[in-house]
Amino acid sequence: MRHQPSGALAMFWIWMTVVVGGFLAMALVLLSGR
Amino acid sequence: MGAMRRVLRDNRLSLFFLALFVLAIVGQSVAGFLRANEELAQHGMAPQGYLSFVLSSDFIVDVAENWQSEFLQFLLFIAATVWFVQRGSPESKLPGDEGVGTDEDQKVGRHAPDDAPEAAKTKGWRLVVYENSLVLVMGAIFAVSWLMQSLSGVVVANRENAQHGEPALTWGQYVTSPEFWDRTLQNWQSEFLAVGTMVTFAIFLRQRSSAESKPVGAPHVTSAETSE
Repeated sequence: MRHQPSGALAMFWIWMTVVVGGFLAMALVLLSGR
Repeated sequence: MGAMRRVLRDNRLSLFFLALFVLAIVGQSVAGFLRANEELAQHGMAPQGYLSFVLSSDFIVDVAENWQSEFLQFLLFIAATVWFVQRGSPESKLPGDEGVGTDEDQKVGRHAPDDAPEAAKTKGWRLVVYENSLVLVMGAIFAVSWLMQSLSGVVVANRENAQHGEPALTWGQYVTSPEFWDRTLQNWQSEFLAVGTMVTFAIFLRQRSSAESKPVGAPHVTSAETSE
């Protein structure tokens, strides 16, 4: 990642956040028993 | 070109699908919310709020069952193309190239160039994890999605069972129930159909300049040329 910022790593983490954030939201709803 | 404009252009494919994903899941939540309230009205029950629907197992089961099947599709596609080929398909390696390849082909260990990912220069378990990291992550997302589908599905099923005066199912009973497998397999069949058609149609059909297509003038019998 010593190259000029390409945004590729940001894209990776954005999509990873979508998935992991989605799972966390699902888990919270399930734990709340709704 | 400014740095910002260059970054936007360089990442347009990811951003395009991110925008589509956001629009589609918001659309799904609105349509699902309206449908759920129609059903409540049919049962003579009071409508629920939008947030109440989005934060319910009804919404989660619909999201999770589609997530799991999509990630299963890519998981199988990534793993199966290691071992199986389809002659002429741009999605396939060449016949004869089946298998995990040599360290030299794969540029790992002492064959790794200076600019290789650091993990590719390692050996032992760190290399094994990195050289399978795409399958491991897609597989983990598939497994968690399928688990979420089952956990939310049993809540939804038991709410309906309670309305009809039927006993509640355990999670174990639910994951062996026709409803769970109906929801699961109706998604899987469509994924497998789409992969099979993509692999075979792309032997003979073209989309000019698409990364998913062979060049228009490439002969039908050649596989992806990047596989050597």
